Amino acid sequence: MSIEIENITKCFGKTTALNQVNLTFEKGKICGLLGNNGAGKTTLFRLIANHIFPSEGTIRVDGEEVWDNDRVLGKMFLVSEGNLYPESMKVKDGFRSAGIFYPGFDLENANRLAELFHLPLKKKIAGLSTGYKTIYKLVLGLSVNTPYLLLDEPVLGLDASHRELFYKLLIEKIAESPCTVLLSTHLIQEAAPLVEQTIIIEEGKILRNRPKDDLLEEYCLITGPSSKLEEWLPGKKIVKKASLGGLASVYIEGTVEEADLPQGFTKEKLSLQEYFILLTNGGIAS
Amino acid sequence: MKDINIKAMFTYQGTSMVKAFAIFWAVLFIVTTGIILMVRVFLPEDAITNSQFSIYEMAAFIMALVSGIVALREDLRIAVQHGVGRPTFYLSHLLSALFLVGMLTIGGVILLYLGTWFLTGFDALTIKPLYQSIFYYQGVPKITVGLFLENRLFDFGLYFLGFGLGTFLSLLFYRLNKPWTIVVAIALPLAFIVTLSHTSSGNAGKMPLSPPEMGPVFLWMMLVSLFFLAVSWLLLRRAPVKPL
Repeated sequence: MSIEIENITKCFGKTTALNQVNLTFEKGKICGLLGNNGAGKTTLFRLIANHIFPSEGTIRVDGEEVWDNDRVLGKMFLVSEGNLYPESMKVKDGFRSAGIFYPGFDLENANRLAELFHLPLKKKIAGLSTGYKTIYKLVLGLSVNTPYLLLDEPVLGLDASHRELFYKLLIEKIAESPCTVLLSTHLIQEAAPLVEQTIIIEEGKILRNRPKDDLLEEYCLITGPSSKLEEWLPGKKIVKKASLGGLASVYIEGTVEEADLPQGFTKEKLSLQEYFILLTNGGIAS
Repeated sequence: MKDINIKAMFTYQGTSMVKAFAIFWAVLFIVTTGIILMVRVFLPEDAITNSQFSIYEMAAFIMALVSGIVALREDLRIAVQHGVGRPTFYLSHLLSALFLVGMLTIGGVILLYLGTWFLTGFDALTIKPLYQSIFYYQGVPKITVGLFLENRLFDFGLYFLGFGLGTFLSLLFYRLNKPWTIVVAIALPLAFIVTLSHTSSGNAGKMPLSPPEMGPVFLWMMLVSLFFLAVSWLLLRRAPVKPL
């Protein structure tokens, strides 16, 4: 029971947005899809939700192909940047429509969340600010109760307090009715505590697809006096080096026991954001 | 066999159609009543004029055409956002077309009889169905059941044709890229004008048209509509859904 992506390629004219992507999103997990702008994240979301068709490959949800399959498509809800709601539709009408299509839609919860976010129910969706448009979609996403929730840049345009509220509500929602969440965001540091499985995508190719904790074990940051560090380094696989004054920092592959470190040295585990930057901009990927 | 969520889609589309039709009919009712009132107030009962008034059908045709254009894109986005595939959406689109066309046809009859009733005893103005205005220009001695049905079939076919054409044009421009949109936008009206000028030059002096065999005319209108709708499906089946 999962989302399986097999050999997906998507071309837009001469541009290849996704190239032979193979992925599996396990049921009940929160998967973080990380990538720089233009990496192919939104294309992947749009393919899963059947907004577009692939040039090659297949996507299966719970063993069934997604293409125009209402049973499968009804199991997921995509919160995306683009607006698919009519310009004349009001927020409350949007809630009513969601109730028609999703039998599990909780109108009471949607109204409660709208109140928490101060989302005006009588206003037209098209007339909302960027942040409130996002909030409208998030309220729907958190109320439709589908087994799969796809969140493509879910905090786009949200201020810090609304972002915090959203993360809190998402955790509450998953605790109450577990579901599989696919989340893409540029605010990696904020979303990192939620993410269990991490997928890193670059130029349409999957660079990493591993549990977050395993991923962060791949590299560590050692800091110490420059002269001593140079003596200690031979035999270690260095990824990146930096020095400031008498101190030097070095990212090395693998992990080192604290006890094996010379005196005055410190070891730090990488954050998901540091790992992502190291992988995509640090030259490791190539 | 894939499950389809037609009930939800049709509930959404049908509700929109009922709302749109209610507004349309109310406007036409106000316009018709306004014209009748003006005529009754300002024109003496024995005025020597015999004006005919049949705006409903043309307005309803435009309504069906615009509904075909607008409903398709808006409802497609809603369908895809809410987990409904293109085949189900299109099936529901066709059902809602029949629903709207049915409402427009019945609405026309109600308005016709209401108007005729308001004009009882006043000969200066008559409300005539479009079909009779075209094919029975000089009047018919008696409205029979057959003629009543012919009128309704003509209306139904005309509105369905409008909806089919609207759907086709909407999808055509939805799928074309910008240069082709410009080419088609210029070529279509040109082709229409050229065809019309050729047809009308051949039929000069033949107006009013003679009463048709309604069966073939209705069949022709339905077949052309179905052709538009079939081509529309081909354009839709692999269409990407573009946000606004």
